[in-house]
Amino acid sequence: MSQTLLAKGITSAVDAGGKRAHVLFVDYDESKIFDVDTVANELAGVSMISRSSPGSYHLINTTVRSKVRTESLMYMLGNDNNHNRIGYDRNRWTLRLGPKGFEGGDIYKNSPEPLAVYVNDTDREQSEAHLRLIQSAAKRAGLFRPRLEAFNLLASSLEVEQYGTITDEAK
Amino acid sequence: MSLEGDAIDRARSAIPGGLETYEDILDWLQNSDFGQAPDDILEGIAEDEAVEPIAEAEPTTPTQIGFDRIPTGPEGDTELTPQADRYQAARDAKFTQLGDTQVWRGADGVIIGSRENVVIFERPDGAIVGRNINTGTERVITE
Repeated sequence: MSQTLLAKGITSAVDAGGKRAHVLFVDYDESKIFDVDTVANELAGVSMISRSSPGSYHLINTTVRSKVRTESLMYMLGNDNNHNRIGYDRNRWTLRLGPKGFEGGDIYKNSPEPLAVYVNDTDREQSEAHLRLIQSAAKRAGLFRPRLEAFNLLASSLEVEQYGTITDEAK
Repeated sequence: MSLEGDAIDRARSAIPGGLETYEDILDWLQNSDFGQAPDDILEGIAEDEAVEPIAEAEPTTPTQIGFDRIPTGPEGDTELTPQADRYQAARDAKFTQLGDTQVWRGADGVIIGSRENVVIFERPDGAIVGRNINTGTERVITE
């Protein structure tokens, strides 16, 4: 069977006054949810944790940061340095929001499951598009939804990616 | 190992055409039509005016997943198992469980975790405390 998969996700990129900036996408493999929760509880702005597979979690934080600041945070907070490095090289980090599957349509992994949304007051800009997407995901999952007017919003749009990857067994 | 990392770029674009709300975007992202050709992913950004305003919701009570799985002993049986005791201690303190994980969160945002027979929580003074739910003894982890 083919070990090539397809998936869809969003990128971290936002346009901050003509300059490329990022929201924070951290990838945790073989991690404890307690540790991810602790990080999310500390970050300024709005965060969401999703479980991508057993023991693996995604953390999205919508505070807008420079590429260098984003990368340094990822190295401090995350444990998947491959994710960190490749995102830096491509000038965009990508997190999967849909299932992984084979080209014929068979599902390999289901969509990440949103677990919790976190809100910490901040004056720092939040990416409106990413925040609205978190709202929609939170609504669908029955989670707490942050109020948009509580934040300094940066008008932004989403970059969506459909991309290829490989099975865990092939990695 | 994640994603995505060693991915082969297949297509990169803005929001696919025809998606006007963030609900639409989520639907597309979570659709399992993996055969969709990159050409079908059209340039186009969800303009603000095209996005349906999302009703602002009051903070909701966290879901209480897991409570229905709390094992209960026979009526009058006070000898709960340690695990049941731990869940009960968290529930009594009005903590709710994060998904079906071992993390519990209070309504005021404090964190509670659990390790074996110890629950970990943040006191109002900021100290992180571990409490053995069998003996009731507490130990301050960080001031």
